[in-house]
Amino acid sequence: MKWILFVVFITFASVSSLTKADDTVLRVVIIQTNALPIVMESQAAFEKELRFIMPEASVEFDVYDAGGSFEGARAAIEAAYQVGEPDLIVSIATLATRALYQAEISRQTPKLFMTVADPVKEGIVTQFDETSADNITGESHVLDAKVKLDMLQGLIAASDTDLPLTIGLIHTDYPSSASSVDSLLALESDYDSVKFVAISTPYVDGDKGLPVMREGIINALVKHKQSRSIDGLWLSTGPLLQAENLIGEIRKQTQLFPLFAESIESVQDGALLGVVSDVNSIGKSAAQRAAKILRGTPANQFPVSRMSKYTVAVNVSTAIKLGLPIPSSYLKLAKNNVYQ
Amino acid sequence: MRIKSKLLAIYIPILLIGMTLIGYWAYLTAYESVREREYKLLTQTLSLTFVELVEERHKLLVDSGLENVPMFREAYQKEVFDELDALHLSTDKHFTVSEKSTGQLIYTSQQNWSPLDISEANRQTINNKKVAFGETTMGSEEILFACSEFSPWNWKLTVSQTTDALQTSLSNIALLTIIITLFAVALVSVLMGSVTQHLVITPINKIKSATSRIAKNHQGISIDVKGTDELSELARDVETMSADIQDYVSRAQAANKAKTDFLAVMSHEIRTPLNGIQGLATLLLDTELNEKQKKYATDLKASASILANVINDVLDLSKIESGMSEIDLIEFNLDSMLSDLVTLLGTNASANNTRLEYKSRNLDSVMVTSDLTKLRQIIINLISNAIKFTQQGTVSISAKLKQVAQEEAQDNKLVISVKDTGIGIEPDRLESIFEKFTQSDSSISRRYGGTGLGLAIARELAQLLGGDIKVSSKVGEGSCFTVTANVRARSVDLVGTNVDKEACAATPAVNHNLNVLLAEDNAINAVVAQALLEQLGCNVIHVDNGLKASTRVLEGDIDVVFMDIHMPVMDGVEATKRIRKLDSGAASTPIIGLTAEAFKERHDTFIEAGMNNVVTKPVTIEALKESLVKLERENTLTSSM
Repeated sequence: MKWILFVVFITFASVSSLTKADDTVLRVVIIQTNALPIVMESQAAFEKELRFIMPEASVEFDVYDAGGSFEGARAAIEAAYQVGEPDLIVSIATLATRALYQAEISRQTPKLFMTVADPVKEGIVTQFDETSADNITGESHVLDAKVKLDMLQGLIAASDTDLPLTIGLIHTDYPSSASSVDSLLALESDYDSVKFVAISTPYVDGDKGLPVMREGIINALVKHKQSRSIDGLWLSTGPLLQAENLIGEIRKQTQLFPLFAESIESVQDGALLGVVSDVNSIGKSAAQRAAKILRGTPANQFPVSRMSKYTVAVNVSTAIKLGLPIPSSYLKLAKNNVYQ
Repeated sequence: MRIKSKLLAIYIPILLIGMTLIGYWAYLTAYESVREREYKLLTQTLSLTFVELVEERHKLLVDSGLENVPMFREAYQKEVFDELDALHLSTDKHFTVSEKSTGQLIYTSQQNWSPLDISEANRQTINNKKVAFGETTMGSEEILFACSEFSPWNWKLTVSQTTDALQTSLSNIALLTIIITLFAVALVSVLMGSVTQHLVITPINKIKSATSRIAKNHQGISIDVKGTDELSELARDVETMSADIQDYVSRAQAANKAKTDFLAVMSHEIRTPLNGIQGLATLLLDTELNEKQKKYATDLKASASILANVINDVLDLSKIESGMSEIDLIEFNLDSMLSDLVTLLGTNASANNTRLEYKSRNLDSVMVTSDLTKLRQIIINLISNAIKFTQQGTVSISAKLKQVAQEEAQDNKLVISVKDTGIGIEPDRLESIFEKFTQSDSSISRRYGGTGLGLAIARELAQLLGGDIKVSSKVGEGSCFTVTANVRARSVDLVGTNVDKEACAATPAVNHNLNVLLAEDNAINAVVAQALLEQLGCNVIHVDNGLKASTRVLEGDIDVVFMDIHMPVMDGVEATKRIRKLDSGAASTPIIGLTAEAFKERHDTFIEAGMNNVVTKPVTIEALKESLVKLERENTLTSSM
């Protein structure tokens, strides 16, 4: 009997030791620009998906918060490398990505970015669907400006509203926000149904930056409205959208509704139409690329591209108030994102 | 019309009718199918597209809680109308939305819309939707329609289309059906023609060809038709029948030969004593007799002559009927021949105080090729008849050729008429006079004599010569017999012809003092023949069999031999052969056969055996003289004196 138990013990020990030998530990460093909801949620989705699709590996996530600034991001990168070179370094949002892309220390490390509005403008690639010369890849979570304008025009065309509508482009000088507005202004002449007025406020980092930026943009908006008639607003992407009760305050101060917003939350708060990648999709798609990179494929073999999946959201209460019936095709696309 | 043509003439209309019926049925089926398809398309368009467009938007509104928001409802209804406009352009169907309860028009893609009468429509549930569909009129147009209801919006949805597309499809189907039907008829006709040719016509042709061979050759045949069908059985039956026919023909030929042999024997047996009777009567008349004795002798000779004629007629008819009568074509001067006949028969006519006239047209310098013997027999028969039934009247003979003879011999038609002013023939007897043993009146036979075979034989002979004999007559005025015959004729030099004519007309005298050997076993016939030859100035030596004859010839001093055929010890044929085999010059001694056998083929046998000529019994002085003259003319006869 003793002999039998001994043999079983030896066998179990051998199998356990062999299993442990294959269990690779991978270190993934995550540099987040700041702790905004879109950043946090897409990061969480990323970590969850990567663990799910790489059961054979033990992935350790080492997360650094840049505090909403470029310098903070650079410091975070250096701190991460003091621990050791990671197997993969992931940047979330534009400032962290810019710092990572410019950092010499991470030149050889595979790099992956998420929630960057305009990687072309950041110099990572010269155009979409192109691979980077450096060891970096990623996806833009923002829809092409032309597609967004087409959708807005389709919505406006279905109503009896007098055209063109003058739309205020609400934004900050945060890179992704400014870039998005620039793209819209570049295409303005192609669309007869809209005229844009760029209304901005400086980007302020840190936890107290959001209320400041909200106050700044409302003031700028009021100022513009006094001098020029504005029919609606366009909420550009960027940290400003995370400001608390931004839409409510704008409506209270100016009686204007956002016609288009680049976040689902903004539609929930009263924006008429929103088209944006949802955080789960952003996180999952990035995790798919991360897994392939960790398994040995160089990062720069994956072209820098836009997300292929977007979420449409509409707010019917806003539509009724504005007298703009949402076309049935939009309503159908919005499915579970129809808000009142 | 050939049987194949007949069959096709029957088959093709039947096929055409059959295929047309099938084609019509196919057209009706296709018509229903096309209608069903159109209705299906219409109802599917209604239920899957039209109603779906409406329901989808209504559901979106309901799900979004916007159903009661007029702005959204109206916008979505307008979307429906916009999509229907596009759908109308792409499908060419018309879409109409009207108030379900009031029928008031809300939207239509049609220019002239009026409410539809759907009372006669068919009703079905399609894709869980109640649909009414059918055919009706809108204004002056025939349309197909399908309609349904959408209660939430109190709408009646109608999709319609004109029947033009349907009619176009049906026209195409009709055209296609006609083309296919005609093609099928043509194809099936060709196939049936081929099959009929193979299965029916070819075997029938083989059987027909076989039966033709049977008819021509009367021999058993083999027909190349295999199988077990009716035609194959027919072919086997025909083969069996042909074998039977061959057997029957063989037997018939054997029977016919037996009959011919019998007739030859009978002919010989009757002619031999008749020869004696005639000869003795002739000799008797040359002796000194009182008037009464002379009359008896004359009657005896006449009776024997009549009996000889009867026998000759019977033999002639027998030969003709048995097909043994052959045409012996020679070229002769017809005009001369007819003139001679008129001269010959003139004596008989004079006895009846009847004038015999002859006139010819375009025959003066013409040589005709035909069977002289048969033609002369026909003419003699007709002239003799005419003389017989004409008392104190005229018998006119006229002859002509249908076409004027050319220098080159050509086919022609000879027409000879014998017209008399005699008693005439009853109209209802005109045809029957050509029947055997028939005269126009039974009293005729008694009054005028004759067997009633003369005209029958004459017509048979005329038909053998490719012609016929026609008669026209009036009782009390006379009759006209017209004989026709196919001949070849050519014109010749007149002078030469006259010379020939003169040569023919002048019968040279027989060289006197000829040493004639008469081989005849019958004592009476020998007496007669010897007396007749002596009348011709011949020195006659008589022997009674062939062996003696050949021996005597070998001894020499014989100028000509008259050789009977049937003799004891050695017959005439054997004796002739023996003489011809002699080493001396006697081998070429002319031999004239004496026979009671009347058949020409038997005469040919005698000639082949070596005889120079044959004289048929009963012998007459003319026949003997003619045979001797002929030998002299051929330089065969050289007097030993």
